This record gives sequence, structure tokens and C-alpha cells, in this order.
Amino acid sequence: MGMLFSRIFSSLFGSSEIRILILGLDNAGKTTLLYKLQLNQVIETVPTIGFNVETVQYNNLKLQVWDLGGQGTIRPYWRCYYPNTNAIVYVVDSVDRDRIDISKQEMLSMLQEEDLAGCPLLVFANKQDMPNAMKEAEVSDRLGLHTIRNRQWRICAASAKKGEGISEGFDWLVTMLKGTS
Amino acid sequence: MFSLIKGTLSWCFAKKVVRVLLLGLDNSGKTTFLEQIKKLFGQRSMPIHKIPPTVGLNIAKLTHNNIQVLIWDLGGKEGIRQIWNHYYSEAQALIFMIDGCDRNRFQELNEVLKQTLAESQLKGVPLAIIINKHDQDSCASIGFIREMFETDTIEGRSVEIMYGSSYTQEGIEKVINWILSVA
Repeated sequence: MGMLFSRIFSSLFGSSEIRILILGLDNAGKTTLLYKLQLNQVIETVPTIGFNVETVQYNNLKLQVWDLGGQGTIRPYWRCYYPNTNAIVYVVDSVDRDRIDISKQEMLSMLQEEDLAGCPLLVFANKQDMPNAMKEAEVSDRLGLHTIRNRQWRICAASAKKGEGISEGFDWLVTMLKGTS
Repeated sequence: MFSLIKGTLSWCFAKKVVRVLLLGLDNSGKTTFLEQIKKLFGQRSMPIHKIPPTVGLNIAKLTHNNIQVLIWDLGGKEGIRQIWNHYYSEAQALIFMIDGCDRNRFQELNEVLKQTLAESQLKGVPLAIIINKHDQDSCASIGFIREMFETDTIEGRSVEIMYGSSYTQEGIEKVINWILSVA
């Protein structure tokens, strides 16, 4: 019910844009994903200190996509961006087996934030173009996605570099956010 | 703040919670059926012809007759089925969705169903089998399914078999009543 009120309020007073956060550890491929989504190009990126924000038109929907820097020292600032978020995109480097546990911890603590309660979660098991990448089932398992009980989630095998899997994931996200009431 | 109020309200008014698992093979129509249920309860739902395969978790939260019903719809594709077992221990009711028209996969379905029912964590959990896509002519009958999957031999739990269709909304009310009856 509260959700309903807040939705009505935001539809009356807020912008019509849907706010999406892209999160994940540094070097997961968040910025590459953002610009592949917006420009359909692979750009040269440098580690993001701060954020990139772009408006992306996707299936007749305006998405305001925030890509936040993922380095350890600046992760505490993610929380500044949580209010009014409609959906979370979490990007995982499927090759980085050493840090998947850190990625899991960061994700699970992020999901405990009240500002993000109920927001759907889309996880990209990124870098599938690399030879020894973990498959989506393994990434899902090691991230502990199955411990999630109160939000809808989906995992997608993806390669931001090649553009694979991205539309599959965003199609799901957008269909859900657009849902008729 | 809103979620706080919402949480308090639902805590006050819905005392009992039933957790239901919605399982079945991919493409059996679980998500579509669930979205139809949400729609019937006046909630936001996805348009039914645009639903992509679930690779993860889809949730419905309904409150009916003072009982809160929580339905977890889990992806049915082979690679993702391993997440099912993480949800078994909390399930109080189990719905198994069957694509009544897809006879080529009945063998696979039989194995998955037997395997699922053999799980010790699901011991005694009531089971509803929905024969989905009943709006189509080629849909299998209850009698056929009962024989095919030897449902009469299932022991230690109550079993209910019913027809369903997301398009005609057949079975939705029946399954909600069933959930409430086993709650």
C-alpha cells in the first residue's frame, strides 16, 4: 500500500524517468556496460572515481542510469545514491574468482538497505567472452542469490564488450518496471 | 517510511503467512500464471505476452482472508533449477506447473517431479499439480496426467490436480482457495 502511494506521488511529482543504479566491484565492467547500452559502442574506459550518469531510451522508456565507481575506498558512497531507485543492476566479473566473495558481501549488504527494499535486482555475470569465465549458475550460487527472499531477481550471462546478454537482461527489467497496474 | 507503514499495517492485519513454491519445467507458464494472479489482486503485473523466461526469482505477495500468501516462482530452466533446493525448507505448499500440451517433455517432467517430491525438506508438504494451457485443444486430461505421473502412488502428502489457463484465467481462483485450505 505504501508502495502504491509512493508510486502515485512519484508519478505526480517526480520525473517520469526510471532510476537505475549499476553497482559492482571495480573492474567488473559497469562503465563499459553503460556505454554499450547507451551508444552501442565499446569505449575505452578508465576506473570510475565518482559516477557516470546517462539517460537511455529503452523500449519507449526513459532510463536514468547511474554507474557508480566500484573501488573499495569509494564503495561507502554508493548509499548516497540509493533513495528513489527503481532497480539495481549488479555487475560481476565472472573471471575474478578471487574476489567473488567480496562481491557477494558488498551485494548482500547493499540489499539490506531500506532505501532499496523491494527493488528488483538484475545481475550480469559479465565477461563471458573470456575463456575461463564462470557460468551464470556458478555465479548465482557463489553470490548467494538464492538467499534472497523479498525481491525479484534475475541473472544473465553477459559480455558487455560484445554486447551479449545485455538486452536479455534489460528486457526483463523494463518489462517488470513497466508492468501494468 | 512508506515501507515502514506498510510493514506495520500488514503485520497488524495479516497474522498468518503461507509460503508457496511454484515450480515446473521452463516454458510451462509459471510466471504468466503468477502475473495473472497478481493482476486479479489488483497489483502491478507484467503484460502476459511479454514475459521472458525466468532465470531467478519472481514473487507474488497477496493478502486474502487475513492470510498473507507469499508465492515464489523459480526459474525452471535446467541450469537454474539448482536454486530450488534453497527454498524447500521454508515452503508450506508446493505447486507444480505442467504444460499440458508439451507431451514430448512428459518423461523429463516425470523425473523432475519425482526428484523434487523425494526431497526430505519437502516431506509432507501439500502438492497441487496444475495442468496448464487448458485453453488449448491438445491439453492432456487430469486422468491422463494422473496415470502418467502415477500421482495415486504419492504418499505422505495431499495431492490435488487441477486445470489452469493464464488466458481464460481458469484455475486461478481454485488454486488460491487450495492454498488457503492447506494454510
